[in-house]
Amino acid sequence: MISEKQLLYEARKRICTAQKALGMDSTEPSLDDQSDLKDLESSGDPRFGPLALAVIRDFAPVAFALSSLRFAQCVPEEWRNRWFGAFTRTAFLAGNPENLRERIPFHYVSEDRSFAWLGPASPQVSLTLRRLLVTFPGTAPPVLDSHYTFQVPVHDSEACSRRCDSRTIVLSTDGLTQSDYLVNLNHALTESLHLGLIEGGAHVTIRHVPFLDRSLTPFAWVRVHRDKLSPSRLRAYCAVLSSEARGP
Amino acid sequence: MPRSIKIAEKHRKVLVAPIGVTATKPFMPSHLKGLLWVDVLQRATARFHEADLFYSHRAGYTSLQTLGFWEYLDRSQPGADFSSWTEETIGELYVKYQSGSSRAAYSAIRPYKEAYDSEEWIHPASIRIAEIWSEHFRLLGAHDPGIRPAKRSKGELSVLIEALATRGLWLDMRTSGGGGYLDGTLYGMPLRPAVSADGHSNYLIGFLLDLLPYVCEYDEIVLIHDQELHSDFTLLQRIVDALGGRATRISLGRVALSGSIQSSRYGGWNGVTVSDIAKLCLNEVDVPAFRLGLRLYFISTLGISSAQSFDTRLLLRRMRHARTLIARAGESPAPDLTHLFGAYQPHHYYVDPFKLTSSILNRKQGGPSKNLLESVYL
Repeated sequence: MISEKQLLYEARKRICTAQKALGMDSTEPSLDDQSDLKDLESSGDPRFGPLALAVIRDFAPVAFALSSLRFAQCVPEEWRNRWFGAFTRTAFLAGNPENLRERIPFHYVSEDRSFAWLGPASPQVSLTLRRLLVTFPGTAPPVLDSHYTFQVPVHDSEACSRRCDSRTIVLSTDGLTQSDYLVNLNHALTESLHLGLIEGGAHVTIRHVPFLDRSLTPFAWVRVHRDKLSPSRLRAYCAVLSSEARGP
Repeated sequence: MPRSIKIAEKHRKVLVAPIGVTATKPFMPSHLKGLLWVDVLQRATARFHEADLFYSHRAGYTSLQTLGFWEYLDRSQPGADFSSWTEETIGELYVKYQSGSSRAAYSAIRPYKEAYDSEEWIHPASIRIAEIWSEHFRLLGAHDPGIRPAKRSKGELSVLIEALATRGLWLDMRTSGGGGYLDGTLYGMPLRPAVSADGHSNYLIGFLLDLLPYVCEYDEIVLIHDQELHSDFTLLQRIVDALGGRATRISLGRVALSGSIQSSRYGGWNGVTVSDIAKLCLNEVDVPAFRLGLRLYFISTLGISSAQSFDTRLLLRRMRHARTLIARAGESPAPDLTHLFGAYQPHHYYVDPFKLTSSILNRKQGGPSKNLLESVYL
């Protein structure tokens, strides 16, 4: 088990990093902070930040992961910083990108047309997309292998001669829906990319565990949120393992 | 027998496909209008081409509101013998059910859906209403759609979904905890829920399941529907076209009653059922004039869409007009071609009922021949 205190600290670290990305003054958190869950939520409210839109045709984790990264690589840098500052807030819609390509100026559409991404989107385009589509239901439990590995796409502007370390990202899956899973995976990948924890050409392994625990620490990055199974508590939903971590 | 008229093009096959009325309430003026438009369109088109009628019974009898009503009837009227009930008595229960306080979960409704799918089982209350309607249709001189199809189609959902999916017209979220959607987003139309997460398919799926075997069998499919179903039928039209057929649409406005247009699920049929209308008119005219007068009123006077309320004074005026037309018809030379060709829709294969009916009322074009009246209107 990871202590509540440690989880709160990790959550504060993520907020602090996001605030810095927005050019805001932010005090580095310490383990001794006395703040509670409510303080955390008020300081990390991203409701008015930029929003990316993802159109999903099928629940396909590997293809989703690759498309999420490709999108994060190709959005304008200034917008990407603001998006990161808003915790890479993304709305998931159900739809067939193939049918929408002519009408919607997506920033990225996956080769198999199963995913399309948009951000920034004008209010007009955003409204059109929301009028045509529905929220991705994703209420079914995800059917997942224990792990999968893929190579991070290399963006046109990226020099691939740099070291291509491998990385392990661990996702907690107990009690999660498909939608929850994609939310966490998207945060983990896009924020890791922004922070330089993963780079084009790197091999990333996604591992699934019921819950994250102390054996995985120290984390290079972790997403902490209210536990949907026990909302009065915090839960570490996904983490990028540091190179020293042993891994599950 | 009506004289066959061949126009200067090849003989075509036309399918006239209206959205039917489900036998759960009294037959009202809006239903009557739809029935008579369909009847005149099909009979007039048959003077040129092979014109078949298509009614999707599955669309009506597997819809949640019909199945839910049947479940409600069995729950609220256990052991009732509906064989002597009236349209109005059953309709009152329908309104009560539609008011929303007595709806059951889909798990309670599912057995009714399964009974329809496996043996086309129809609730006795609907059978009773269909019997009463058959009497109406005989009196009106109109085709009786019946309650079951003449030829049963298998209606396999998986086959339909595959046909739609291969053309990008189906979005399946069922493995993600959602439903299935008809996907017209390529044409700028919003996703239309068609199969719910718990597996219930709506009337559009019922309609398509019945229609699918005929899509490529006809040169033109004429979809006829309420204006309220405009977006659904625009989507259906696109789907039929994408499946290899050729569809066109006629969107009919409902008939206002006392200034308001509303669905029959809210009732409001006092004094305006077919029985009431027949009683009123047959006091003034005989059956042939009644049949023609109704068609003059519901097709020409009310037109495709009219804000004017159902008006018995105008209706009776049309009855008297019909009586005169019939009396003069025998003396007229045969002007069928003038009327029929004038109403034949350019770039389509069907006759427009409004143009045809307005034309026979136009004195300058001469009255209708006996032949035209008998083959299309009486």
